[in-house]
Amino acid sequence: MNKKNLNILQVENLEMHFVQKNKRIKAINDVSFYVHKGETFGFVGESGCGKSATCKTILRLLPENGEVVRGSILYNGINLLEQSEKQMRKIRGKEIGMIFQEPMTALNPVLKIKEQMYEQFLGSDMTEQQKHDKAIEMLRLVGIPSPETRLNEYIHQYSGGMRQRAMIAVTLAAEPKLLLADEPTTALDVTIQDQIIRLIEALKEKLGMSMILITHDLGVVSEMCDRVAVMYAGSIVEMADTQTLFAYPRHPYTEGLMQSLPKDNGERGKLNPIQGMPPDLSRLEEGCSFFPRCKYASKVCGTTVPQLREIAQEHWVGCHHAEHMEHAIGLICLEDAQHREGRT
Amino acid sequence: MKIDPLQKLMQNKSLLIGSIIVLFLVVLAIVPSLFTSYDPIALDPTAILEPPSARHIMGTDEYGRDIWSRIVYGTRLDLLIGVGAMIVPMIMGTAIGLLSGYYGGKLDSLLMRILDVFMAFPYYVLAIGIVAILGAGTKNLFIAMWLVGWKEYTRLIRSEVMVVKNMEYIQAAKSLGYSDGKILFRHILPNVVSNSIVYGASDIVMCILAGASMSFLGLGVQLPTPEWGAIISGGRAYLSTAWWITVFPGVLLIISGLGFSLIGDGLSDLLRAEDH
Amino acid sequence: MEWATDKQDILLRVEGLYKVFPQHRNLLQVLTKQPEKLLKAVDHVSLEVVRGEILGLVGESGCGKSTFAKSMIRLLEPNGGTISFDGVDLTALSREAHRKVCKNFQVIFQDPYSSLNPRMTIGKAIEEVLLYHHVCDKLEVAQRCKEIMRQVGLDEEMGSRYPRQLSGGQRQRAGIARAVALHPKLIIADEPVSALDVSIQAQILNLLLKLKRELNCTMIFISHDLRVVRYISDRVAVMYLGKIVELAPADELYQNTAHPYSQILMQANPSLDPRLRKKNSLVEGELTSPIDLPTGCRFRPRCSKAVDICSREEPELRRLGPGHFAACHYISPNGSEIPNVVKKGTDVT
Repeated sequence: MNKKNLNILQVENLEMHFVQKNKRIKAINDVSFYVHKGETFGFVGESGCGKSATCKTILRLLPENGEVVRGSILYNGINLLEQSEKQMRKIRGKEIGMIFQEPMTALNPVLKIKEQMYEQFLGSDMTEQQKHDKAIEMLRLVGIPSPETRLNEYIHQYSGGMRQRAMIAVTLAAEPKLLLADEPTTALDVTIQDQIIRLIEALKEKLGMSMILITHDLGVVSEMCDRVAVMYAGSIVEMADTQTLFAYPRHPYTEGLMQSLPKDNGERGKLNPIQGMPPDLSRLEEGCSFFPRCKYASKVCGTTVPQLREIAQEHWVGCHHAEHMEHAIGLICLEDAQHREGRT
Repeated sequence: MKIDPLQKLMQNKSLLIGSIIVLFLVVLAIVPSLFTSYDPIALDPTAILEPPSARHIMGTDEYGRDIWSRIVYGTRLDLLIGVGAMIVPMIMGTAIGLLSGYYGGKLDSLLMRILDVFMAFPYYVLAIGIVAILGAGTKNLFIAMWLVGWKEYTRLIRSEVMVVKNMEYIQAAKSLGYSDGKILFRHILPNVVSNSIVYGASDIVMCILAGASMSFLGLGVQLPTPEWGAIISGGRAYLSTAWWITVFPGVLLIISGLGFSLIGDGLSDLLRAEDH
Repeated sequence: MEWATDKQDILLRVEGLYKVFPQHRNLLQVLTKQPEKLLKAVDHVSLEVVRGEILGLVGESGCGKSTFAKSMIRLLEPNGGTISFDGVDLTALSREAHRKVCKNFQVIFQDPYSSLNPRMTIGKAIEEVLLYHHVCDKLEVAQRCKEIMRQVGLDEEMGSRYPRQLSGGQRQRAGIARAVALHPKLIIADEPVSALDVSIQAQILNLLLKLKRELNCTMIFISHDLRVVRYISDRVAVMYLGKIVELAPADELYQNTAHPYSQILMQANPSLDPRLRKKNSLVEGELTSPIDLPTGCRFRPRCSKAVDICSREEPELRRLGPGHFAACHYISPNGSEIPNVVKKGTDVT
C-alpha cells in the first residue's frame, strides 16, 4: 500500500484464528491496513467483529489459543510477529501503549498509582526525583487535581472519570509512539466521555502520538478519528477518511450501520436496521461474509469473497458492488464531488 | 440442540463409573438373597473363624456367621443410613438457607446464631452427645445425624441465595407479580441447588462412614444386626488372627465411598457445564 | 401544578416520590451513634404520565432514573410520596393487592441475560406468566405463547431454548415477549437497548414502537443515550441527582434546551458529523456525590452560570412554555436567560 515511509504501522494480510477443542474461530480474516504517523485511526464494528482481537494481535497479547495463521505487522518497518518475547516486552508500553475500557481491571488494585507509574520508567536511567516529578507531571497533564497526594493512592480510591484519567496517565508515562485505545469511553457517562475524548485528543497532540481507536460508537469515531475502518465478521469491509466514509458509505454493511442510528436532527422515520445476525465465525460459508444479510447481494456474492479494493483515493471497499453503491445514504451531506477531488 | 441424557452420561466417565458402582450396591441391598445362600445371623458352631475358602468366600466370624452374607445383608442398612442421613438434613438445611438468605434481616440473624451454636461443636462430638442423651440405637442414630448434618447445606444455600436474589431475573419475577413462594421455589431454588446436590453426593459417603463409625463405637446399630461398621467393630478383637472379618467390610466401605464420590464429581461437572 | 401540556388523560401520577438508600455504617459508627447517611436516589419527584405517550427519562448513571421508574410501580418500595395509577392509589395497596395489579405495568430490563431465569426455557418463562395471571388456561397456553413469540419476532423453535442459547437480540425479544404477554397498560423500558449492538438496537427500537402501537400502551423509556431517547419519546424528562431538572416535549427539549445541565448533556453527546468536532470540552467537574448534596441547586458545583441564589435556594420546576418545565433560577418564564442577575465570581472553585 501507499506512502510506506509515512506509516507507523502497516498490517498486511493478517489472519488469526482462535483454536478450540473441535473448531476454529476465524477471528481475523485477511486484514490489511495502515496507520499514518500522527493520525487517529478508528476501528468500528459490532461485538465479535474482530476489532479488539486485531489490537491484541498487534501487541501479541493473544490468549494461548490465538494462532496467527499468516500476515505481517510492520511497526516502523519491524515485523512484530517475528520478534522474540523479550524484544516484544521492550516494544510494549514504550513503543506501543494500550488503554482499556475498564481501568479497574487494567490497573493493579494492590499497587499504588505511583508504583505502577514507576514501572513504566523501568530501564530508563532516571533518578528517583526525576521519576517522581515525571509522575506528577503526568497526573497533572491528565487533569487529576492535587497529584502529590493522589500519586500515593490506589485505583479504587479514584472516582469513575478519574480512574480513566489515571490509567491514561500510567500508560502515557512511558510516552508510547502508538497508542491503542480499546473502547476507552464506553463505560463512561456522556459528560465524562466528552472530557476523556478531549483529554486524549489533547495529549495525542502534545506527545505527538499516533493512535488506533476501537469503538462501536460512530459518534466517537466522528469526534476523534481521521481515518476509519469498518469491520465485520473478522474482515475490514470499508476503510476511508472519516468524512468520506460518513458522507459516501460504499459498503452495504456500513450503510446499514448508519441507517440503524437515529438521526441527530430528531427525524422520526422508521429505522432501517440490518436484518438478521452476524455469522458464526467458526462456520463461515463461502463468499462474502455479509451475503446472508445483504439486501444488494447478487449471485457472485455467495461464491466469491470480495477483496478490499481502492475505489477512490484512500477509500477502500470490500464489496463486489462497491461501484454501484452511489445510492447509499450516509450520515452527512458533503456539498459535492469537488470535495472529493479536493482531497486527492 | 438437545443432547440425549444417556449420551451425556456416557461422556461423563466419573458419573458413569460411580453410577455402576452405586447401582451394584443398590441391587445388593434390594435382593441380597440372590448373592448369598447363608443367613447373616445364623450361628454355625462348626465353622468358627474360618479363613476365606470356596465354602465361605470371605470367611466366617467368631460365631461361624458368613462374612460375605453379613456384608451383603448389611448393604441395605448402610445405604439407608447414607441416604437417609443425607436427604433429611439436605431438605432441612436447604429450607432454612432459602428463608434465611431470601428474607434476611432479623430472621436471618436468628437462624445464623442457631447455626453458629451447631457449628461450634465438631461433628462427632455433637452426634455422640445427642446419642448419649437419647440412647443408642438405629432410630436415635438417624436423629443425631439429622440434627448435625443440616448446617453445611444451610451455609451453601444461603450464600448462593444472597447472590441470586439480587439478580435481575428475580427482580423481573417480582415485577411479574409472582408470590414469594413461587419466586423462592420456582426461580431461586433451581438456581442455587446444584452445589448442594454435588455436596450431597459426597455427603452420602460421609454419612455411611459416620454411621459405621458410630456403630463401631457401639452407639448406632446394635449387634447382631448386620452393618458394616458393626461387623468391623466385632472383628476388632481378632484382627491379628482373623483379618478377613474387618478387611472385607472395610474394602466394601471404600468401594461404596468411591462410587458416591465419583457421582458427586460427575454431577458437579455436569451441572457446571449447564451453568455455563 | 399542571405538568402536562393540556388537560389530558393521565395514566400515572406520582407526587413527592421519595426513595433513599441508607448507607452502610460500620460497628464503630453505629456504637458512636453517628447519624445514618442517606443516598437520596429519588428526592421528592412529581410527574404525570399521559396515557398513550412514550416518556423518555434521561440522565447519567447514578441520577436515579432507574430507581425512580421502579419506585413508581413499587418494584422498589418508595419511602414517601403518592402514586396514582389509573385512578388506583398504589401506595395504599397491600403487597398482596399490589401483586394482583402488577400485570398492568411491566418492566423490560437492560440486560436480558440476567433478567431471564437461566434454568427456564423461553417458552416456559412466557407460559408461566400467562398461567399465573390466568390470562388463558392450560389448553390454550402453548398456542398463546407462540402468538406472543411471533409478535416479537422470535421463531417458534426458540421456545424450547434456554437464555444462554440465544443471541443478545433474541434474548431481549424474549424479555419483551414476557413483559407484553400480560397486555400491560404501562411498560417501563429500563435501558432496553443499551447492551445491544447498533444494528440489533435499531431492530429492538422498531419492535418497541410496533408493540406500543399494537397494544395501545404507555411507555416510560429510560436511557442514557440522548439520540435514542429523542427518537422514541414524545416527552423527555432530564434527571440529575434524584431530581427532574427539565421536562419538555422531545423536540422542544432538544431545540430549546433550557437547563444548564441539559445543555451540557446535549453538547457532550458526540455528534455524528465529523465536521462539528469540538476542540474543548464544555463539561466541568464530575458527578456530585448523591450522599452529600450541596445546598441550594444540586447542579451548582458544576454550573458555569451559578449565581448567589443558586447556593441558597433549591429551584423548583417552573413552566417555560407549553409543556416545557425547568428547575433553574437562571431561566425566566419566557425561556430566555435572566440577564440582570449578578454572576458568581469565576475564581470560585
